Amino acid sequence: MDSEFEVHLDLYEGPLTLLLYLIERDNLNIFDIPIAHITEEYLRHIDSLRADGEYLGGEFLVMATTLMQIKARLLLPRPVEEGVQIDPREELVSKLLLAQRFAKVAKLFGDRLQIMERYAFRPPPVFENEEYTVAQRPADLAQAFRKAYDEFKLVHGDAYAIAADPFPVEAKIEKIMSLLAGKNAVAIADIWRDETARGGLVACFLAILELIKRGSVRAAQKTPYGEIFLVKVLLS
Amino acid sequence: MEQILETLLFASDEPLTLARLREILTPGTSEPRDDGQDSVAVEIKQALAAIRARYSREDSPVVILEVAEGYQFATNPRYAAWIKKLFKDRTSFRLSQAALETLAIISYRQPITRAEIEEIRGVEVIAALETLLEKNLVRVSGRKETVGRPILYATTPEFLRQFGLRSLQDLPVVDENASQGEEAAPFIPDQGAQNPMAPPATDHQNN
Repeated sequence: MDSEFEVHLDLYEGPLTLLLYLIERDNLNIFDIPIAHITEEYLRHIDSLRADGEYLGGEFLVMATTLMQIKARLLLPRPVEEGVQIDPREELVSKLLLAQRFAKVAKLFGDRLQIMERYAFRPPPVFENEEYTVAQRPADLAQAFRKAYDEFKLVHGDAYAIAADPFPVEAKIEKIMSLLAGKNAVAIADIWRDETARGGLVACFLAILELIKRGSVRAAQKTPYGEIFLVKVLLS
Repeated sequence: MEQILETLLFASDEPLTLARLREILTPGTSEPRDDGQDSVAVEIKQALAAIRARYSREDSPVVILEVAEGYQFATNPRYAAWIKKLFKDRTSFRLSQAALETLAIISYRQPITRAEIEEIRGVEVIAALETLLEKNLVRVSGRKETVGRPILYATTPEFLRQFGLRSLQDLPVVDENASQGEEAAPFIPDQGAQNPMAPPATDHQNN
């Protein structure tokens, strides 16, 4: 690798970061970027990164196209709006300025975290977020069930068990309602946690679907990718 | 009063707001006002200031921080090295540059959609967002009433606590139209190190 191209890992962050790096390295005026020069440098850079086997996202190519487009437009007579010449670089410059500003703020954030690292709080507080805002689609529930089923097989084996009792869905509905008694929500993992038979697990899942159908509960998460909860629907 | 406040702060695992302290001390009275006319609120603030002054005079092992619109105990940063030894197997709180930039954008532009963040950063931010959600620095605050109803993100009280901020107003002032080279204003001063009477902030590592 050419030593000229020794780069900081952050440059893979994105095309704006790379452009800002080049502007700083070559001491360019951000308001009057020599497009030919920076396009050339930018292309050399991404070629070199790719030659090193770096995977570069499509956004790097989009930026390359943008740069070449601007370069081409600079050769043409510029459109005039309200007597002012429109600089084809204008949009890119404002994007770069904004990215630069937030990069600086991010640096402040990092410094601040280092200062705050010197404080220990007792005990680490957990802010309970009681909002169940992320609605679940049927596919999410099915996925949750498949996951529970796979874990179940790991614990209890894959053998067919002959159940002594049938697994009435109605009994599981009662189980869920008793878990929900005096509470607002229950994690679906807690509903089938103590099931030891495959049929019981299935009955729990059917009971969940039935309760959702009846409109007495809804399935939601506090945060995306979080645990799925059944939340009581309060009838007004 | 000072002793009661210290007891409450010691026992609490989250920042206690002025309103909460007031409600505990004088239950059932009217809402607190922060206009200097509310005698209980003024008394609480004076007592807290007196406690802080005493702690600083005595080089107390704990400090009171004003974070997330409340007050909370924290250990004195002068003794940070000892805490580090106590929790040596715990990894410290680090965020990648991508996560920091994403967090910075969210904190100033909240509530904001993922697409809007990506427009500013010029790259995908899914991984960074997941980290921030997982660390409870960012939360889903709703959905934008536009095509596709995209999810909106905002910062959490935990974000304020981790960064030692009283509220979002404590974020450094950023003039997005400022010209190149102009620096953003710094964060509010480090609260634990604010007392000029305090001895120089050298670490007490080996005494």
